[in-house]
Amino acid sequence: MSAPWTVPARVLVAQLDRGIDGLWSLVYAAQVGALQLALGPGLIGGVDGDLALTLAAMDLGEAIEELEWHHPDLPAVAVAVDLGPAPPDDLADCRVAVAELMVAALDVVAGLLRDPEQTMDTAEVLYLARIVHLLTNAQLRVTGRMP
Amino acid sequence: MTTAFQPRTRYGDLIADAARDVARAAVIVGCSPFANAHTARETIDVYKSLLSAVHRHAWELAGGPTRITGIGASPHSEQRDLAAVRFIDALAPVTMARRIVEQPPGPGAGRVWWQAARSMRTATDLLATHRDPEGAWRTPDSWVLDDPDARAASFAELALLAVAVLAAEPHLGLRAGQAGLRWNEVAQSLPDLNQARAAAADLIDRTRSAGGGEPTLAELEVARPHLRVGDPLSELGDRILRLRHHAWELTKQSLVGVGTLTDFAASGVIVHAHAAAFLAATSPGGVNELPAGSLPTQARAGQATWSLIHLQARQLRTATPGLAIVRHDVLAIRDLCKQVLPIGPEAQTEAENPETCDARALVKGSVRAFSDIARWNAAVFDDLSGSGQLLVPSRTLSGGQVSDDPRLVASKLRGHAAPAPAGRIDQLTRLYAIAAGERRDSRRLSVPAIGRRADDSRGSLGR
Repeated sequence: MSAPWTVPARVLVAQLDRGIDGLWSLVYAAQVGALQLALGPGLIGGVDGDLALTLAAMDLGEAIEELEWHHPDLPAVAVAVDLGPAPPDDLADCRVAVAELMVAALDVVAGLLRDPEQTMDTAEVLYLARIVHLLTNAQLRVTGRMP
Repeated sequence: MTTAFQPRTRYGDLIADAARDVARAAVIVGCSPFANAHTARETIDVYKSLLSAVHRHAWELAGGPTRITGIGASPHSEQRDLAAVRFIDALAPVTMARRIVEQPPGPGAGRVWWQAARSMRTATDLLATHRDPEGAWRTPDSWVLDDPDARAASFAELALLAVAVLAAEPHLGLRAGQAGLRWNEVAQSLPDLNQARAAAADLIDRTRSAGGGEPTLAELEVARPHLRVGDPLSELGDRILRLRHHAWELTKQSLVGVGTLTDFAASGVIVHAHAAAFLAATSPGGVNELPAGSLPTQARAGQATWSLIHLQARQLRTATPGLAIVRHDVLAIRDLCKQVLPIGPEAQTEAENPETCDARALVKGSVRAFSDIARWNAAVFDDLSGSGQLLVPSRTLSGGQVSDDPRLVASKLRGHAAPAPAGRIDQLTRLYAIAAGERRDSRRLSVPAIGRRADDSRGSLGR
């Protein structure tokens, strides 16, 4: 029996650095998690019956593309975590884990945007702002709050 | 919410319209005299304009000047192709440089022939949209233009129509003389058409056996049509067709971003999920006991397969970025599916909607379109993997995945992007094959099925 996703997800949130590398790792883990979860049993009326997870994975995929466009080395240098197959008896916990990863990613972006040393140029600020929108959308979808 | 589907004009509709007009004109010119000499001259002009339209259409059907010259020059040309060239040559002297009559003449045979010529020219233009200036195909369905049987069937139809038009010439001359035109003017205005009649009859003999099955040009619509954004049902069908077109276009390009394949996969999940929900809500008796090949079963299986492709493809990388237009279409399809094929309680309401039949036709066509998309995506994926363009973040590789390949070991140690492992490529290749349904009849024309009812026998342009 595999461990609930919230356990490794919380370790990841606690251990990762709060820079771009950590942001990529959180978004990547959330995206793979959402896609794994979307494969869950009972497609109609099942775990992804409303397509929220698939659509969230699309938003997260776009966020990853944005990050990799500005930092092409990220896939090679950042930590890539796959939470593994979703435990079929604890899908609600998996959904919580994915949502927590996204909240942590939003927290990292917010920290980067505060930019106390004023090192970011306009393009960087704007692409991070776009990522905020994508992460927020994905988070609302996964938590069932997107109309 | 669904709305009335707006059908597009097909090649077969235009030819059917022209045929009906030719038959109506035959009755009119046979039974009614012209009012005066002016009407007679006007009608003769329109008649010759119609012959010119037939000639131009035959030219387009035959494949244009290069192919026509080739048929004449080659000792191995098919008899029906040679008959087509003889038909074109026989019509040429009477129709070359014939001006198009722009304005419709007054009521009578001339007006009806004018309509027939307009339908004929529109059909010619429709076919022309399927080729680029070099004659190459512009859409995934343009191959049908070069299918010998499809072309022969269309020539058979055209020759029948030409025979009917040419048969009107003696009556037309008689009516013109009766209306006050001098007989020598009638003779000069209406050139000898005996050779054209003989060539048309010969063409009928050579091509009569063709047709009666697929493929056929009748279903062709204009290539790369604009999107009908006013109506969600039509727009969804158009966008799925455009997606299908992009998938085909990508097979001709060497540099494709895997991001685009991922977008296709996401749209596959979305469309199949909505299709499955719609079919579950609208199928009487539910969908649980249906056989494997049924549409609801296909939709459910399609969603599962495309979900796996989506998961696998998302973890791959290429140096080439994805196409913005595909992403844009996928997002639009996502929103339109919510409106047209809702999931959840709204789907049940949709079952009682009178337009459900249109939506069902759309679902059927969409499932077929995604089968084509899977086949073309598989070809692109094969090219990308064959040319070593597919990469993965090396940190995602496990020890077991890298241990057999020194390149992967080196990439993982140095933290570089690594070539995609063979196992992952094989897995995706298998998934694409499943999504494509392993269709053997890969040249089957599937585009017109989108949004069309099986019993749809509608009219044409302007209706």
